[in-house]
Amino acid sequence: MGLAEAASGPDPAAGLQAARELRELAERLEALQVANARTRGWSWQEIAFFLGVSKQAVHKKYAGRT
Amino acid sequence: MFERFSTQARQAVAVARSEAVSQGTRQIGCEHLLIALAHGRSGPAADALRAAGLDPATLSELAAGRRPAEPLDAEALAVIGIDLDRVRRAAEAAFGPGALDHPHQGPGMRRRVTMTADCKKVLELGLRQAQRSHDRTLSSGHLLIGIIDQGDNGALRLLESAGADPAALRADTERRLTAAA
Repeated sequence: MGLAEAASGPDPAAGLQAARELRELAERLEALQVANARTRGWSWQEIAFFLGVSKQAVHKKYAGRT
Repeated sequence: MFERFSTQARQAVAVARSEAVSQGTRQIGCEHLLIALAHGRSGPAADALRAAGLDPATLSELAAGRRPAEPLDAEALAVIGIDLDRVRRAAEAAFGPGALDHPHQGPGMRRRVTMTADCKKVLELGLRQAQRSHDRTLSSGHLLIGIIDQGDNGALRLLESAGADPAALRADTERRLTAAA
Protein backbone atom coordinates (compact mmCIF):
# COMPACT_ATOMS: atom_id res chain seq x y z
CA MET A 1 0.00 0.00 0.00
CA GLY A 2 1.45 3.38 -0.96
CA LEU A 3 1.82 6.06 1.69
CA ALA A 4 -0.80 8.27 0.06
CA GLU A 5 -3.32 5.44 0.23
CA ALA A 6 -2.31 4.68 3.81
CA ALA A 7 -2.86 8.31 4.78
CA SER A 8 -6.45 8.28 3.62
CA GLY A 9 -7.15 4.81 4.95
CA PRO A 10 -8.48 3.82 8.37
CA ASP A 11 -5.00 3.61 9.96
CA PRO A 12 -4.15 7.06 11.32
CA ALA A 13 -0.40 6.42 11.56
CA ALA A 14 0.70 7.88 8.21
CA GLY A 15 -1.57 10.93 8.52
CA LEU A 16 -0.44 11.63 12.08
CA GLN A 17 3.20 11.30 11.15
CA ALA A 18 2.62 13.67 8.21
CA ALA A 19 0.95 16.19 10.52
CA ARG A 20 3.81 16.00 12.96
CA GLU A 21 6.43 16.46 10.26
CA LEU A 22 4.51 19.38 8.82
CA ARG A 23 4.39 21.00 12.22
CA GLU A 24 8.16 20.57 12.61
CA LEU A 25 8.75 21.98 9.12
CA ALA A 26 6.60 24.99 9.99
CA GLU A 27 8.59 25.54 13.21
CA ARG A 28 11.92 25.44 11.40
CA LEU A 29 10.76 27.78 8.64
CA GLU A 30 9.32 30.16 11.19
CA ALA A 31 12.58 30.21 13.14
CA LEU A 32 14.62 30.83 9.99
CA GLN A 33 12.41 33.73 8.90
CA VAL A 34 12.17 35.29 12.36
CA ALA A 35 15.98 35.35 12.48
CA ASN A 36 16.01 36.71 8.93
CA ALA A 37 13.54 39.47 9.85
CA ARG A 38 15.54 40.44 12.94
CA THR A 39 18.74 40.60 10.85
CA ARG A 40 16.93 43.05 8.59
CA GLY A 41 15.96 45.19 11.58
CA TRP A 42 12.29 44.19 11.87
CA SER A 43 10.70 44.82 15.25
CA TRP A 44 9.02 42.06 17.26
CA GLN A 45 5.75 43.87 16.60
CA GLU A 46 6.20 43.63 12.84
CA ILE A 47 7.17 39.98 13.03
CA ALA A 48 4.15 39.25 15.26
CA PHE A 49 1.88 40.93 12.72
CA PHE A 50 2.91 38.53 9.98
CA LEU A 51 2.78 35.51 12.26
CA GLY A 52 -0.66 36.46 13.45
CA VAL A 53 0.23 36.33 17.14
CA SER A 54 0.89 38.85 19.89
CA LYS A 55 4.19 40.65 20.23
CA GLN A 56 4.54 39.05 23.67
CA ALA A 57 4.17 35.54 22.22
CA VAL A 58 6.90 36.06 19.61
CA HIS A 59 9.19 37.72 22.10
CA LYS A 60 8.76 34.91 24.61
CA LYS A 61 9.33 32.22 22.01
CA TYR A 62 12.40 33.71 20.39
CA ALA A 63 13.91 36.10 22.91
CA GLY A 64 13.00 34.05 25.99
CA ARG A 65 11.52 37.04 27.76
CA THR A 66 7.87 37.93 28.44
CA MET B 1 4.40 0.96 32.63
CA PHE B 2 5.61 3.65 35.01
CA GLU B 3 3.69 2.15 37.96
CA ARG B 4 6.50 -0.35 38.40
CA PHE B 5 9.21 2.32 38.31
CA SER B 6 10.86 3.47 41.51
CA THR B 7 10.68 7.21 42.27
CA GLN B 8 14.31 7.56 41.20
CA ALA B 9 13.66 5.79 37.91
CA ARG B 10 10.63 7.97 37.20
CA GLN B 11 12.71 11.03 38.02
CA ALA B 12 15.41 9.83 35.61
CA VAL B 13 12.90 9.60 32.76
CA ALA B 14 11.68 13.14 33.52
CA VAL B 15 15.23 14.49 33.61
CA ALA B 16 16.01 12.63 30.37
CA ARG B 17 13.14 14.50 28.74
CA SER B 18 14.48 17.89 29.98
CA GLU B 19 17.94 16.98 28.81
CA ALA B 20 16.63 16.11 25.34
CA VAL B 21 14.71 19.39 25.22
CA SER B 22 17.71 21.45 26.30
CA GLN B 23 19.88 19.69 23.72
CA GLY B 24 17.33 20.76 21.13
CA THR B 25 16.66 17.25 19.82
CA ARG B 26 13.27 15.86 18.87
CA GLN B 27 13.74 12.53 20.53
CA ILE B 28 14.67 11.30 23.97
CA GLY B 29 17.49 8.86 23.37
CA CYS B 30 19.47 6.51 25.59
CA GLU B 31 22.19 9.13 25.89
CA HIS B 32 19.71 11.49 27.59
CA LEU B 33 18.66 8.72 29.96
CA LEU B 34 22.31 8.07 30.79
CA ILE B 35 22.92 11.74 31.54
CA ALA B 36 19.77 11.77 33.68
CA LEU B 37 21.02 8.76 35.67
CA ALA B 38 24.34 10.56 36.20
CA HIS B 39 22.40 13.49 37.70
CA GLY B 40 20.97 11.27 40.44
CA ARG B 41 22.01 12.16 43.96
CA SER B 42 22.03 8.55 45.11
CA GLY B 43 21.06 5.05 44.06
CA PRO B 44 22.90 2.22 42.31
CA ALA B 45 23.15 3.90 38.88
CA ALA B 46 24.24 7.34 40.13
CA ASP B 47 26.76 5.80 42.52
CA ALA B 48 28.21 3.47 39.88
CA LEU B 49 28.53 6.31 37.36
CA ARG B 50 30.17 8.56 39.94
CA ALA B 51 32.58 5.76 40.91
CA ALA B 52 33.53 5.49 37.23
CA GLY B 53 34.23 9.24 37.10
CA LEU B 54 31.31 9.98 34.77
CA ASP B 55 29.76 13.30 35.77
CA PRO B 56 26.62 14.68 34.10
CA ALA B 57 28.20 17.91 32.90
CA THR B 58 30.93 16.12 30.94
CA LEU B 59 28.48 13.60 29.51
CA SER B 60 26.12 16.39 28.51
CA GLU B 61 28.89 18.28 26.75
CA LEU B 62 30.04 15.17 24.92
CA ALA B 63 26.48 14.44 23.82
CA ALA B 64 25.97 18.00 22.57
CA GLY B 65 29.19 17.80 20.59
CA ARG B 66 28.09 14.75 18.67
CA ARG B 67 24.54 15.87 17.92
CA PRO B 68 23.65 14.61 14.45
CA ALA B 69 21.52 16.49 11.95
CA GLU B 70 17.82 15.65 12.18
CA PRO B 71 16.49 16.03 8.69
CA LEU B 72 12.75 16.10 8.14
CA ASP B 73 10.94 13.06 6.82
CA ALA B 74 10.43 13.71 3.10
CA GLU B 75 8.21 10.66 2.70
CA ALA B 76 5.83 11.74 5.45
CA LEU B 77 5.54 15.21 3.95
CA ALA B 78 5.03 13.83 0.44
CA VAL B 79 1.91 12.14 1.79
CA ILE B 80 0.34 15.59 2.04
CA GLY B 81 1.81 16.91 -1.18
CA ILE B 82 4.86 18.76 0.11
CA ASP B 83 8.00 18.49 -1.96
CA LEU B 84 10.59 18.76 0.80
CA ASP B 85 13.50 18.84 -1.65
CA ARG B 86 12.13 21.98 -3.21
CA VAL B 87 11.53 23.64 0.17
CA ARG B 88 14.98 22.63 1.35
CA ARG B 89 16.72 23.92 -1.76
CA ALA B 90 15.05 27.31 -1.35
CA ALA B 91 15.91 27.46 2.35
CA GLU B 92 19.53 26.49 1.76
CA ALA B 93 19.88 28.99 -1.09
CA ALA B 94 18.77 31.74 1.28
CA PHE B 95 20.25 30.59 4.57
CA GLY B 96 23.09 28.21 3.79
CA PRO B 97 23.60 24.45 3.83
CA GLY B 98 21.75 22.48 6.49
CA ALA B 99 19.35 25.37 7.16
CA LEU B 100 16.43 23.00 7.64
CA ASP B 101 18.33 20.14 9.23
CA HIS B 102 18.15 21.08 12.88
CA PRO B 103 15.24 21.76 15.18
CA HIS B 104 15.28 25.35 16.31
CA GLN B 105 16.49 25.80 19.85
CA GLY B 106 14.65 28.75 21.25
CA PRO B 107 14.69 29.77 24.91
CA GLY B 108 10.91 29.90 25.20
CA MET B 109 10.03 26.98 22.97
CA ARG B 110 7.80 24.09 23.86
CA ARG B 111 9.19 20.98 22.25
CA ARG B 112 7.29 17.87 21.34
CA VAL B 113 9.61 15.01 22.15
CA THR B 114 9.10 11.31 21.67
CA MET B 115 11.32 8.46 22.75
CA THR B 116 13.61 6.59 20.38
CA ALA B 117 12.93 2.90 19.76
CA ASP B 118 16.25 2.11 21.48
CA CYS B 119 15.21 4.00 24.58
CA LYS B 120 11.85 2.23 24.70
CA LYS B 121 13.70 -1.07 24.37
CA VAL B 122 15.90 -0.11 27.31
CA LEU B 123 12.83 0.50 29.48
CA GLU B 124 11.44 -2.90 28.45
CA LEU B 125 14.74 -4.61 29.26
CA GLY B 126 14.85 -2.78 32.56
CA LEU B 127 11.36 -3.99 33.44
CA ARG B 128 12.31 -7.55 32.63
CA GLN B 129 15.35 -7.26 34.91
CA ALA B 130 13.15 -5.75 37.62
CA GLN B 131 10.77 -8.73 37.47
CA ARG B 132 13.60 -10.85 38.84
CA SER B 133 14.31 -8.52 41.76
CA HIS B 134 12.65 -9.08 45.11
CA ASP B 135 10.26 -6.15 45.02
CA ARG B 136 9.73 -6.24 41.25
CA THR B 137 10.30 -2.48 41.08
CA LEU B 138 12.36 -0.99 38.30
CA SER B 139 15.13 1.08 39.85
CA SER B 140 17.68 3.43 38.32
CA GLY B 141 20.16 0.53 38.43
CA HIS B 142 17.91 -1.56 36.17
CA LEU B 143 17.78 1.32 33.70
CA LEU B 144 21.56 1.55 33.52
CA ILE B 145 21.85 -2.21 33.08
CA GLY B 146 19.15 -2.05 30.41
CA ILE B 147 21.13 0.61 28.53
CA ILE B 148 24.23 -1.56 28.54
CA ASP B 149 22.39 -4.79 27.70
CA GLN B 150 20.55 -3.22 24.74
CA GLY B 151 23.98 -3.23 23.11
CA ASP B 152 23.81 -0.52 20.46
CA ASN B 153 22.63 2.96 21.34
CA GLY B 154 23.61 6.59 21.84
CA ALA B 155 24.41 6.06 25.51
CA LEU B 156 26.93 3.32 24.75
CA ARG B 157 28.57 5.55 22.15
CA LEU B 158 28.64 8.33 24.73
CA LEU B 159 30.28 5.99 27.26
CA GLU B 160 32.84 5.09 24.62
CA SER B 161 33.66 8.78 23.98
CA ALA B 162 34.04 9.23 27.72
CA GLY B 163 36.50 6.32 27.86
CA ALA B 164 34.29 4.21 30.14
CA ASP B 165 34.10 0.41 30.32
CA PRO B 166 30.44 -0.67 29.98
CA ALA B 167 31.06 -4.21 31.23
CA ALA B 168 32.76 -2.98 34.39
CA LEU B 169 30.04 -0.38 34.89
CA ARG B 170 27.38 -3.06 34.53
CA ALA B 171 29.08 -5.33 37.04
CA ASP B 172 29.42 -2.49 39.56
CA THR B 173 25.78 -1.48 39.12
CA GLU B 174 24.59 -5.04 39.63
CA ARG B 175 26.73 -5.32 42.77
CA ARG B 176 25.20 -2.14 44.17
CA LEU B 177 21.67 -3.27 43.24
CA THR B 178 22.12 -6.55 45.07
CA ALA B 179 23.64 -4.80 48.08
CA ALA B 180 20.70 -2.42 48.27
CA ALA B 181 18.08 -5.17 48.11
